Amino acid sequence: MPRGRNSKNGETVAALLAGARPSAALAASEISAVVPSLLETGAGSLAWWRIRSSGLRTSPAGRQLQQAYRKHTLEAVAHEKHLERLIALMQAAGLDPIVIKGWATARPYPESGLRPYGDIDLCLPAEQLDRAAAVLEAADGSCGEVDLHAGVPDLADRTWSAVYGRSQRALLGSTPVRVLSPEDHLRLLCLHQVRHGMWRPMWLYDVRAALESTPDFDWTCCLSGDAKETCWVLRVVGLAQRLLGAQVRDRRIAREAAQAVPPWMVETVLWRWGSGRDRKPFAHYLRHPADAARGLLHDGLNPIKAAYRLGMCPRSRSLMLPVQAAAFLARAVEIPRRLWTRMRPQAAGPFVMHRARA
Amino acid sequence: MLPVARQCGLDVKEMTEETLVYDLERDKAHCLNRTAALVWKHCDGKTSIPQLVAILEKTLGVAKPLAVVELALEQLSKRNLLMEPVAPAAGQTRLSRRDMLKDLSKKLALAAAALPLVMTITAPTARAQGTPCTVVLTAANLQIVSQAGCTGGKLCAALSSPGLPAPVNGTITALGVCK
Repeated sequence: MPRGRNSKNGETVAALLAGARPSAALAASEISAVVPSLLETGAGSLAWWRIRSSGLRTSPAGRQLQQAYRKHTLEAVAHEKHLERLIALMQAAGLDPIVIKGWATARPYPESGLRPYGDIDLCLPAEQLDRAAAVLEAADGSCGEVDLHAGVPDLADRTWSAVYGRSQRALLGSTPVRVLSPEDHLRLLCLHQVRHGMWRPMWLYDVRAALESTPDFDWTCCLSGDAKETCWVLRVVGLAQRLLGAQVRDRRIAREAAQAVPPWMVETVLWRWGSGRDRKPFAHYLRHPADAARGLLHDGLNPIKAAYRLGMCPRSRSLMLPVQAAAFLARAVEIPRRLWTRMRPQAAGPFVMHRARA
Repeated sequence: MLPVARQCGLDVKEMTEETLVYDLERDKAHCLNRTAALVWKHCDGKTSIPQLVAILEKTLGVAKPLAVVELALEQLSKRNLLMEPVAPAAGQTRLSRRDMLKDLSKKLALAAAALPLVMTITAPTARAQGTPCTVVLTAANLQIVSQAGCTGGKLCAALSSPGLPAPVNGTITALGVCK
């Protein structure tokens, strides 16, 4: 992965979000350089939170970050209203879905507007998916954008009954909402971002927030299951410690996690954070072939995605090259299928169903 | 007529220093500073402008409170945050925020923060995933006819937005978010 400006910017993003350097020590020019990537990756409001008490708040960069904070705050209001309405409808239909990501992840944050919100992700047993879809059809888009999942994505090594049995109720206003146990939640946060190549700093901050909000965390439960996946959980926790100053109370786990992180992973994450660009949809590259090379660098050859995909994670950077190449070839094989999926007429609706577990 | 703040079709979040308002009907977000928020909050259809003036003077110690209230109402009205638009003060009594700031800073050394400000929020923020697209749908059953910039995935905004444009030749062109 090329080093240089992107990596330097990534270090600034990490220092800013970690609060490692007092915001007064960060120059306005350093912040200005990372504002585009902070906004693109949805970490603008979190960055604003860090500089809000410093002289940087009135700088042009500070004002941009504050606007992101305001926007996310309003998005949070809408997201919560939609979620409350949706859960009431689901419960009225005798369904008790588990809410993941979004609001469930923002709960430990000091303010709900410190992270952006996307869809509402609801997990249900596969046999209840059609009933949930009928509820959403009847709601006619009044509950925002919803993703229905059969089971819990990224926790494929756990049964629904085990995850549901451990799940908890959290209050959204006066509405009880079912969320994952802290242990399953942390595992999901870690594996989800690895699957996406860890391009959003906010995802790692979610891990820090989750780690620091649960005093009696059961690491045995969190790290049980597929051994390879568990190694990824430890690597992400190690990265959260190293880059964002996350505190892990269990010293043995803290040490194991720190040792689990290969050096290339730190470099990759900083480079991705500094470049800020999101992966473009596959069809974008078909229409704009000139962007394909950049897309290839940003996403197609992402070492974290490659290592996760192939289930191998060497410590040495040089050993990663064949892993990246193999993962890229494996993806290339899928291109015809993906092309076919893109060309087929799509049924449009206010929700998406994921019948197969991701 | 006494000013009345809009209640419906708005998401409101009161913060320490400002109030954020999202207009669901117009898809616009606004940020009201303390002065503008105070005026807006008291636009209940019962409070007269002299009463608003008194509230502002008492709560924020604003100098020239009448001009400040008028300016706040004008800004709120312009952004459709009042039930009925308020006509701007005519002639010499009407002061723009810039004029007022100049005037007050010269004569009264008043902080700019005391002046009402309703700002529209325009910051670009990242969505979890997704890309804007234009989709042509048949008017009858909303089947996709053609797509531009669309990756062929889920259409969110197009179908969940309450006001789709009128059909042209049996089709609807809508902006969507493709996932």
